[in-house]
Amino acid sequence: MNVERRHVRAFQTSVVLSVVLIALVLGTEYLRGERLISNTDRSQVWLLIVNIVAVLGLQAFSGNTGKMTISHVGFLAVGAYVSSLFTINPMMKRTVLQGLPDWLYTTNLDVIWALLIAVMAAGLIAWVLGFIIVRLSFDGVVISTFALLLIVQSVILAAKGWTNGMTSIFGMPKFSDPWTILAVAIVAVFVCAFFKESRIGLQTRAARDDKAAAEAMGVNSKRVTHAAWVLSAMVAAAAGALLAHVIGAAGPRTFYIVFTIELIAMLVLGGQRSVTGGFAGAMLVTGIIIMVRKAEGGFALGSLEVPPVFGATQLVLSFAILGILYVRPGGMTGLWEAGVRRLSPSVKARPSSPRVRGQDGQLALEGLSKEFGGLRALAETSFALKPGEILGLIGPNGAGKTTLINTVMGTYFATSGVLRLNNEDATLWPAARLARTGIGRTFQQIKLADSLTILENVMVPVSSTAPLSEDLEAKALGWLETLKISHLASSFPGALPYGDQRRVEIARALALEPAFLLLDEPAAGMNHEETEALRQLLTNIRDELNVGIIIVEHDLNLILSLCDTVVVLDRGRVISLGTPAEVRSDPAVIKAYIGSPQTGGEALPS
Amino acid sequence: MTVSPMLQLDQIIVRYGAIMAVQGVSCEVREGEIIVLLGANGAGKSSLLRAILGLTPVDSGRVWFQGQDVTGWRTEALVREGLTLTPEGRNVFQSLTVKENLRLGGATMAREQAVETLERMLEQFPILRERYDQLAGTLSGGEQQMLAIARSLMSSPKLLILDEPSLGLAPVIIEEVFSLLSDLRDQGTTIMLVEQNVAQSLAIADRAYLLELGRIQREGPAASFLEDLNLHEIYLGGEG
Amino acid sequence: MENILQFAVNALSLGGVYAMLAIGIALIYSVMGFLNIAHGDLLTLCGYAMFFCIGFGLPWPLVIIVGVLAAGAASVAMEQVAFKPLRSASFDTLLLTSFALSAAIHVVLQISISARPKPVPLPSFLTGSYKLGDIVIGTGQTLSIAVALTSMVGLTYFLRRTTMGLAMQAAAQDFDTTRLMGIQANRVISSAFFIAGILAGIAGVLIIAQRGSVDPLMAMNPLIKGLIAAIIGGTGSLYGPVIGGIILGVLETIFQTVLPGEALLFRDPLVLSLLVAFLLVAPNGLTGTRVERSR
Repeated sequence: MNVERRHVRAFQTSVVLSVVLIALVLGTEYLRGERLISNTDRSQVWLLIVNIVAVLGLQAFSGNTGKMTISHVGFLAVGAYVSSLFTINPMMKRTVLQGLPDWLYTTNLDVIWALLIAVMAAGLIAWVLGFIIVRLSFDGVVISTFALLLIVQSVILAAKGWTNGMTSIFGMPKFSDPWTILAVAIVAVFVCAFFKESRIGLQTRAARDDKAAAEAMGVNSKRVTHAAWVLSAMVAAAAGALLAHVIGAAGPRTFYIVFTIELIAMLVLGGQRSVTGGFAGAMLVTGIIIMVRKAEGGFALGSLEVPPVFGATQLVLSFAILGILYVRPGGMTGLWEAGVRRLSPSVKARPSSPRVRGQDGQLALEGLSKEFGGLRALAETSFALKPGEILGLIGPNGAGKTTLINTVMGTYFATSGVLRLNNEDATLWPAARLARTGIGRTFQQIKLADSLTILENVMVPVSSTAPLSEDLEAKALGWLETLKISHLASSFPGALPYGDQRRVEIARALALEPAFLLLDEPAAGMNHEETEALRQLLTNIRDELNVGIIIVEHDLNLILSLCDTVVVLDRGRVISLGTPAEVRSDPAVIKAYIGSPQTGGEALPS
Repeated sequence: MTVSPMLQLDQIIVRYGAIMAVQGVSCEVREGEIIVLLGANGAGKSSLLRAILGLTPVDSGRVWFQGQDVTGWRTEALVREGLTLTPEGRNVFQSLTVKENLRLGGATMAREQAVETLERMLEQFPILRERYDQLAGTLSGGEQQMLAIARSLMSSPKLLILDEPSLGLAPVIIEEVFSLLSDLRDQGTTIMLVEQNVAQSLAIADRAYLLELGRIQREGPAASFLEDLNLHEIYLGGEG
Repeated sequence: MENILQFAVNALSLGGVYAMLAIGIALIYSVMGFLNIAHGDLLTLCGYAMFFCIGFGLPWPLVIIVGVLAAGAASVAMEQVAFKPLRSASFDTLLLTSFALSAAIHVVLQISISARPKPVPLPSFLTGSYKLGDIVIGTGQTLSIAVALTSMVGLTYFLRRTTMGLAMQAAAQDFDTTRLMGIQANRVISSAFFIAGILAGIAGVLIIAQRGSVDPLMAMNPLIKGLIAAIIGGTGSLYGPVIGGIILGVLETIFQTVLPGEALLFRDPLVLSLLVAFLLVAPNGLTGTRVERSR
């Protein structure tokens, strides 16, 4: 595998965060050695590190997929209880827990093995649950993970033979030194940082910003969300196991609402979308918690006696979440990651020269129809497109052009008729499969991933089609260079003018190396110069890459001067099909566009 | 004595993020006339209408209604002042009945007045009386458009703005809609029409504006618009 | 036969309570576009209002009325204070806000009153029982069914017959066009929160009559069940949440009857797991979701 800039970036972030962890641990050890702090203070620092690991887990899912999960404390509980069951000494187990199978009574593992088993167990549970989670919308995920938290809680209370119910279990070995904690935390940092920059992480983030666009770039959004979910549960379980061995106990009340709110506060305050954000949020919030907890017990401020306030932590955190949402919804860090210096892409990555797969197939619509309710939006449409050909699709508002594009692209499926791609029946293929098999598209409303750089946007389709040995960055940069926009590689889409955004969309669609390209109103909102540049660009794409293009456009000058064939739709039907000249003089077209002749058609200059 | 126009737009600019959808539009609607705003798709027509009605913020420029500066007013307040919009694409409330749709249209009126207007509407649109207790979603496209217009009229607007009332309708129905608009004008309602259907809308309009790429490219009396303008070029491109 | 009747009464009374919570949640969802996690706390607040009224020695009909109205008022206040400043924010921000708001309410109640349950003794006929032939039926259950039915009839009347009710349905379909009718967006939203609050208050009275006490966290379980009833039923219509609530009531009653004593503790997790699994089959609920997300 190539070392790409994204790997360097993940490595930098991991190293910086690891150094912070190491400094934290060594500092604590030093202070403890000098008897400047107590053992309790030392375990406070360890708990801080546990919190960091937990939030990293939460971030791996919520940050990358944009979906809020409330159940992660449940996975911490799974980690804590499983790890405990494998490490509590057999004598103790027999006295406290009545419901265990025999082999578990006699099993007594090292903490590190128990932790690995706990992580695997949580991964397995999450994998099964994942089949539900990936199918749900944002709200669905919130509700089901909320339910999951309650389920875990009630099961702990109910399964007394395994968990000792309401009462905590204890007797598991307690850490006497910080090295296991430190090692697990560093592994978690590396895993999460590299996951974010991995192909799957990149695809997950693309799907978070715009699911439809990601799928049109060949991303299987369910699969990548599933991966993020399982990984995130495993990291959370590791945190749970650590927690059990730091405290030396595990009880149901630890793993409930309060802890959930704390973790969410850490993530939201720090910044959901970056690993560094989660890390920093955990440090900040844990700091606040420790201070407020002290206040909860009452303290003296100068001569002022502050009375003990129970629950103040939760209150402060709730308001902190509310405050940050009002003021800075992206959290402290936003998209920023520690240790990242923005390298100019042209310095390091060498663009590879783009090449489109050899094609001789065709894209054919055979009597394609689409009905919504009783309404026929598209009626028995047939035409075919070969590579190297540009086909214009025009028609008045509401003629069914967008329906046609969406039916061809698998956004929804045809009611009847067949879509044939290179002689295969592709009528029922989902968008991602069509994309990987050779149809690229752009959208009427620009759908670039806002939180990804231009380069990353173009890397998404490369990542879903290119072999693992391929250098994503080089390839994507090659496409940017082809469209003469490589200088924009490290910008974000929101900062670009409209015409450039359109170009990026086209580059992104081309990066699928498609045989066919569907452009939905690419010139909308462009001025005359931009439109002219677009015309040049599309001509070049056809001539040099031999791509077949379907273009939907209202700018008829562009259509007529660019296309080899023009299809005119009206009320869902093809009313004219031919060369631009033929279509222009077709009375049916004039009627559809300008109106019936009886009310003034004769007055039109010919 | 100069009478200030019913509606006056002064250098309106509307932005969506990076896109400037309306780039400085000025025009006016005088009392008792039908004006039509022509333009191909993507010319910024809908954005302009949404901005006039306060559904989208106006980036810069002023909107004057009956001599009053109403820029930035809330939609609800504008409707109460007598300005209303029939939005594009038959936005009737599908799961409510015809009766309930009309009732919401007259929500700002006093009860007796609403009853009276309702009776007038049912007379003007006999089809709605027939479909009175049917769910709006079950009406045909043309019937839904009639309902949408009748619903707007329930608030007895001084100025009625329509966004592409002919969209997706069969030609016979389109003719019916346009002749209705012409009748309404004769009854004293001022109308601003946004259309793609050039020939028919010009036939009923008094004056016309042509909007292209977010700007007014041409304006004039509707009659001469047909002669002056190379519509063929705008809509079908080329040298025409 | 008796068993069936008994079963039906139990299931419907539970289902009715969940349905009332679910309707409120669905109403806010369809008008505002987000799930209000703090909705359950209205039930708790209703409980505390009744607790104080009893403390003041008010007669119980008044206690109940004040309790229900308090929930309605709290719901409107919630919108004014927490959600209104975020009108243009994304839906996930609103959801997160409601979550934090809920947490804040819990703590304020814990600090200012107590974390421990407070007694709310409602009249004994609410918890008594009567005989119908050979069958013993709870008065509370019967009353729950009656109240739930009445509320739903009333709500149907409100939604279909009053201008505000119609506006609320219209706003759920298309907020912009509703404003074009001259209807004030703020009033529609406030009314939706008020109605949702009243329904939560009524549900609160019924639940608290059974429990006899109120504590800050008591709404967790009813809340999640209301949320789930709304989701599995679908928020697109009034019937969705009602059906969702009844399904939940039936399931719970079945497990209550079928599970052996020891395993009874697993009732809630089992019901919740089943319902979450149900979302696998119908991610948008039984009657579908319709929400205008382009305001």
